[in-house]
Amino acid sequence: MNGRRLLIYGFAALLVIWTIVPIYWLFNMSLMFKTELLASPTHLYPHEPTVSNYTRLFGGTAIGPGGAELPVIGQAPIIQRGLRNSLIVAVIVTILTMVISLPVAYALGRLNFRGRTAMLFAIITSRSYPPIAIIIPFVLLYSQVGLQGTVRGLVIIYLTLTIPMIIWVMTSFFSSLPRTVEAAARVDGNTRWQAFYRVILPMSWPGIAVATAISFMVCWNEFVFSQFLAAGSPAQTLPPAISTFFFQISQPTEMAAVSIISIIPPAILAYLFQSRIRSLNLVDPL
Amino acid sequence: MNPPPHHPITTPPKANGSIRFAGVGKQFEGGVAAVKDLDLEIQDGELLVLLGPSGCGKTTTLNMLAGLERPSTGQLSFGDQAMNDVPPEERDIAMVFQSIALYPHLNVRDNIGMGLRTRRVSRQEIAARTSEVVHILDIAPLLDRRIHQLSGGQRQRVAIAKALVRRPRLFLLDEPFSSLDASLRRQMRSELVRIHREVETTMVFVTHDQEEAMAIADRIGVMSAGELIQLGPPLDIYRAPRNLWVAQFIGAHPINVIEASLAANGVSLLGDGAWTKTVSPEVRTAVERQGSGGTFLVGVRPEHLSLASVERSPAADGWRAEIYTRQILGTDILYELQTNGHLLTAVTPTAQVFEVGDRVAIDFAWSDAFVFDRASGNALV
Repeated sequence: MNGRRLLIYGFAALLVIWTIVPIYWLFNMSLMFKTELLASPTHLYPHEPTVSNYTRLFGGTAIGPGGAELPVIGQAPIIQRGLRNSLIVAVIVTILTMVISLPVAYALGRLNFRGRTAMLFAIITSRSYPPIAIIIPFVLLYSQVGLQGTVRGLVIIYLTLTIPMIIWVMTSFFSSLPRTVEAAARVDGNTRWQAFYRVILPMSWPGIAVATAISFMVCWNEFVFSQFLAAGSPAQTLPPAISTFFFQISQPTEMAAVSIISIIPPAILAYLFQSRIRSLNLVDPL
Repeated sequence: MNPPPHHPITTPPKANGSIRFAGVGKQFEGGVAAVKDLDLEIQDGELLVLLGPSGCGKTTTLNMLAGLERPSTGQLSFGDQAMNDVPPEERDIAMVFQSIALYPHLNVRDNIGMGLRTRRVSRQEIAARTSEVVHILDIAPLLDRRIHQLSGGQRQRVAIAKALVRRPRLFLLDEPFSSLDASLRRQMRSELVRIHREVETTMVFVTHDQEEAMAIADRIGVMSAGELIQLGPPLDIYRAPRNLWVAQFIGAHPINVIEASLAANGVSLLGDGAWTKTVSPEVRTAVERQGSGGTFLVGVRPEHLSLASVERSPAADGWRAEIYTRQILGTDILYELQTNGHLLTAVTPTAQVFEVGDRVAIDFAWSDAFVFDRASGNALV
């Protein structure tokens, strides 16, 4: 192995460690009792592994290392509700985003019409400021029209995040597809709309998979809007629910367990779509 | 690949496949005129080749036939039906593309059947017609393959099968063979000619390859810079190009262009008066009538330049040249000749062999030569 290769492998290893170690550490913590977490020197793996941090989040009880029953996790109902809300919001938003964005992106990517460039510019501009910059008008507006603290309200505001992003991603994807395939579809007797859903959409699975994953993760991870518009309400999603741990008595191992749970849905999604993405060659669809 | 077995194609009654362009023009955004004032009639059942270099407007013309582009001016008709505003899906055409344009997410069978399914042809009918065309094109074993599992030649056969199965009123072919290697291209060419003979459907074929055009066309339309320069059967264009540009574009070997001027006793060639050739009366009157001081250009195809050994042509004032290079092409030999500082090319049958450095006598017959105006390049005779 020459020096150049060694360097590449070295950097690759560094990158993997950089990514994996924090997650491993979180996982490590989530399997410990609090007493073991505080042990010195630090345990690099749980010596007395326990799943009690997980079971107690979902209403289970557990006996601690000292023989006494562990205290109830006060946030457990909030976490359960947050998980449910996050899933509902992310799924609804992702479906609506796809239904709305794909035709728009197709039009922007494949057709020439007056105002096309201006529209693309407007769409990308709408994503150029941080959400926090517009939160106050939204809070006022939402409390006046009764959307404050509702799942509906979150769906609407999340669409303003995902739709421009997905339109942007899919516009460049659609415009990279070979133009003659569509011409062939038209000549084969398809209207423009039929060519879109019979030929362009099926060919676009890799791009759609990526866009779906992005849209889901944006909703799943979103904190600011949910914190301001739904914190403490029955519509609160998981990220603000997790943050409630900061304001209570210290429960690091329980918080680690929730964090691990919150990683699972995006990880499953990424895994499922990774095979989709690999099954087609993005550069040359033939 | 073996030549496919011969299966005659059953032909159903067809719509009138004649086509008329009347003053059709196409201008793109930014004012680029891709096609200018095109008048062209294509007869029912004809195989018309649009030939020209890239950017000459031939593909835009084809796209207007397909309905993928709308004419900016003029009127396009199929039979007596005005077509300008008819969308592609209602035109009853089939098209084969240069990039082949098969659907990567479908297998061969579904690709071939796509156009029929869209038009709600029954399942049995699709199966019957598919099995007919796959036999014609010898691709039956490929039916369940995905497109990315096929070679270039196989993909092109599938693309043709997909067009053929439709039995349209009009076939459009946009440089369909340009991505294939030379031998496959020749094979596909003869298959296309045979298919055309059997289906008797109008075909419009676009290519930049003059050899391909000559080989398959009933008529060739030569295009340049958005204009139809010349239209006619291949041999007519070969024998009587309308201008110097067409003469240079058509023909397997580049034509010799020789500067010439009228002299008292004939025509002085190569500009420096080194050789004078007697001239036919038609050429003399044509050049004199055009009135540019008697100077003009003579086009002589390499295959019309005759070579003879100096001993056989002893006339002292004959036209002499030296063999500069020689390429054996198989059926022919291509010579480069050096004569008085100019290079000319000649193609002779292999029966007549000269060595590099040989002195030869060269000549041509006025009946084989073209005479062009110096300024405009237009043919004078």
